[in-house]
Amino acid sequence: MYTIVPGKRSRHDGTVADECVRVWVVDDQASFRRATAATLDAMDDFVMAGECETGESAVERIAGGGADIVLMDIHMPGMGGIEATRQIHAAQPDLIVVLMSTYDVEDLPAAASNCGAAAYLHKERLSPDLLSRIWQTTN
Amino acid sequence: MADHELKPPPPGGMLPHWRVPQVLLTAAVRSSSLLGHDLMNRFRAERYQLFLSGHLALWLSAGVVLPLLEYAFWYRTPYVLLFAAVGAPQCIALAFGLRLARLGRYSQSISLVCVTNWISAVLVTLINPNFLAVMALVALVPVVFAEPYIRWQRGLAFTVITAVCVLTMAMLARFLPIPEVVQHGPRWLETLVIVVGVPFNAFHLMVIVWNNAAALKTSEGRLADRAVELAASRTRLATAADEERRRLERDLHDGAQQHLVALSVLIGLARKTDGDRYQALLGEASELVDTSIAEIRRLAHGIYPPLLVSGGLIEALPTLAARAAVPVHLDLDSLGRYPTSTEAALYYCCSEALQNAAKHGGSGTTVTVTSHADDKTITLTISDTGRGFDSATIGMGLTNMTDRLSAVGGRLVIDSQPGRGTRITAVVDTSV
Repeated sequence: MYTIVPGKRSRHDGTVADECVRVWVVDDQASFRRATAATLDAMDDFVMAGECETGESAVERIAGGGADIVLMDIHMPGMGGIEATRQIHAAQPDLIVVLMSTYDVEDLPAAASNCGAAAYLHKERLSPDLLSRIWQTTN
Repeated sequence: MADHELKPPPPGGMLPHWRVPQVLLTAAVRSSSLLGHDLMNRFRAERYQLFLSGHLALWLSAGVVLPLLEYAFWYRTPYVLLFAAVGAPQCIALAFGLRLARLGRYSQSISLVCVTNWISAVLVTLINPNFLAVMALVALVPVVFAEPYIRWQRGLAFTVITAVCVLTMAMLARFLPIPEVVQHGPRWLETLVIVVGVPFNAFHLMVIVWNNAAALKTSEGRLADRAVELAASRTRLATAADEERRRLERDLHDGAQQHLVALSVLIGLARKTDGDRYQALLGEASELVDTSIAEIRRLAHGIYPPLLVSGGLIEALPTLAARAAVPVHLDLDSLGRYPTSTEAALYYCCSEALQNAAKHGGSGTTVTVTSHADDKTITLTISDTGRGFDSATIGMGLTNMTDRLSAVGGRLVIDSQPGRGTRITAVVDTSV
């Protein structure tokens, strides 16, 4: 399922709980971005806030706010998801970043556990239920 | 003309007289233009024939012509003709040996020469025991020369026979009385033969020994160079194999697996949905399945083309050409089936060359692939009309092609110049 990365406890101020949760997806694979859009589409209280293909553009575009959860692919060309998470987390410590990939947890680089991500998600496990649970657990 | 005056004097003119013997000796022993420095490669032809012709000339002059001259001018006795009676058959044997060598039968040739030379040397010592020293050296000459041409067991036997032969000659000289007829002959001629014959044969022996050593050293050097080159090539091949696996992992992970992951998410959603959304999700999922199948097919084809397994190059190359990003004209002639490694190496050479042509050739590039095969070799030529490049700066792909071909006993010739297209010729020896 998903793993809460140790040492991470996000603090939300609760204001967003009344509205839709805004989700950003960062992945170089169009097919997975489409699948994420379909998943969010099926959820009433979650909404797709934006998507981008690289870590660099994520850092730049998410810095302006407008996101509650970032679904971040680890393996992307360029900066990659871990470094992007580190930078986003440094700028907005309250923002929940969920790392994703198709690799097993054991195959992830050590940096994945201390970059500030709130959770790790196997991409194929993405579902409305799971997104809600992540949101509730980290909230 | 001015440039005539600028010409430097020939190097020979600079040589002080006292160095001439030294230079000649060096030439004879180490780097004679006749014998060459790459002796190992030329052993089988010029060197052998040169030696045998020289040996024949020696026997002809000292063993036939000299006794006849002696008989004619200085000492008219039938005894002198005995030398010619030994020398003439020896010359005939040497001439026959020379013929055997021309047919490439070196081992038989040198064995014949050694055996007849021993017999002749013993007989000459029997006729005139005073010639022991000369004949003992003559008995050694072909055996020392024979070393690279015969198997070591025979070499061992030859060594023992030579020792026995020299011992026999020594015993003959020690215990046989000097015949009367010899004692009355012209002593100056006998002295001349000894004074010329001993140092000449000793020198000849040393030249052969050093020549063999020089050849060995040269071939050792070449072997060492080859070993270094092989080690480098092996490393490059291993690196290329690793790189290939990495690429495969990336292709699998970034391609088919990502589609399957998205598919899994969509199917998961569809299970909990109904109505129109259900149909839309299924439609999207079906698209992803098709994409994944195409992706896996492409990947599998890249790993090993199925047609290459079933039909060989003659069937696989047309498909490769049809899939290429540039127009390819094929002219495949008499290609058969070859070992898998050979077919794979040639296929990937062709594939790499087509990719290079498409990538670097520029617009309007066309490629012609021709093949020619006979009993011994396959030659595959891939020429394009693209931009070309400086052949001194070949990239990783071409280096890999060279390594891959050399691993199956082939070689790659790259002929390219900026603005003049590229021609890549792969030749593989199929006779081994």
